[in-house]
Amino acid sequence: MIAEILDALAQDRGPAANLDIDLSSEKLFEVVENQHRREVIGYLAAHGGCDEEAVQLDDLAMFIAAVSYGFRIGELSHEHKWVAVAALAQTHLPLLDEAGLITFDEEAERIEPSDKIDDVAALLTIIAHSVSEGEQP
Amino acid sequence: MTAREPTHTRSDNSDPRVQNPDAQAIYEYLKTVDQATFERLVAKAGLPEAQLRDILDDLQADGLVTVETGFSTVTISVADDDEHHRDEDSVATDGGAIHTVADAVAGDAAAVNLASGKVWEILASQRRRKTLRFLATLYEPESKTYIGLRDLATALVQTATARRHQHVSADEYHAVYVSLCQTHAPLLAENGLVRYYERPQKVRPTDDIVDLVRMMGWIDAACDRDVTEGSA
Repeated sequence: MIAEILDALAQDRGPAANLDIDLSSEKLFEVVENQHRREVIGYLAAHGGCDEEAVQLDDLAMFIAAVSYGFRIGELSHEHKWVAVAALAQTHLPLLDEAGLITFDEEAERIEPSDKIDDVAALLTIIAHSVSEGEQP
Repeated sequence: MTAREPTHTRSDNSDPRVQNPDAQAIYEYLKTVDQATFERLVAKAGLPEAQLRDILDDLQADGLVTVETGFSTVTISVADDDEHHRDEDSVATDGGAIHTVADAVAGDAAAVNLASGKVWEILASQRRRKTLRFLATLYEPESKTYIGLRDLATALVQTATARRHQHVSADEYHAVYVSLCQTHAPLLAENGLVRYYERPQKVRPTDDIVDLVRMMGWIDAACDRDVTEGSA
């Protein structure tokens, strides 16, 4: 009975059927559990694809600080930014790097998204659109 | 609705009641496999889902195929030969359980009744994911079925160890039981996925759990299939 239902669920590939995320679901759930990491993934996927793919830690921190405090980027103090820099550099970026979604160059404070990031960002969008209470991924 | 094509493209052994060549191909395919899921047909036919849905609705209206909505899949089968010539009116002989394909597939888009941030928070714990999957198997519409947290803990520990042919240790069971009582059951109840009766320590899966577990299926399908836990 359980096996049948699990099989049925496995066949139901749903709206994410075209995605090919090169991570175990275990790892994916760990990565996207945190809201700031979801924001980072969305930001990097949106800013990738141009000639200049790499993003500076400063710019990303400004974005994350703006998202978390609900301020516009011009209204942020240095303190706001440094809190975001610390969380990104110590926790979120190493985890995303380990999962292979980015390459984080600590020395140069540069983040280079890998091509895996687009499918994860797409999944976040799909799930955000499949929930009743609309919310940014 | 797809415009019906002229009949001149029909092959000799084709069913005269199927007029559109795409519909003909799909009907022939269904006759060879007897039944298929909607997703399988989408993959096989290479047609846009909306178009396939229209074709299947036409076939169903003509009484050639039946569409059944299962727990999470839509299955399309060839109608029995004997019944081929029955009237359109008599298609829903089983008390109206047959839906149109459009209705059945629209169920796929059923929104999970949670903010997406909540979805990721809930799914972050592996034990919670296992609990959700297991509870979804107990779900029956409008049923009052509930399960005690002790039984639930036993079931979860057994599914975790079954493949390793190990005995369930008391510690392992106890850890699962305590986490269910203290963390998972209250959190699932808070988010409307179960009704939690604290005193007798019982939970009952709600309708929402089915949508969430279906969504987990999408996520598993998008992830690396060699290591997907859903098949465990």
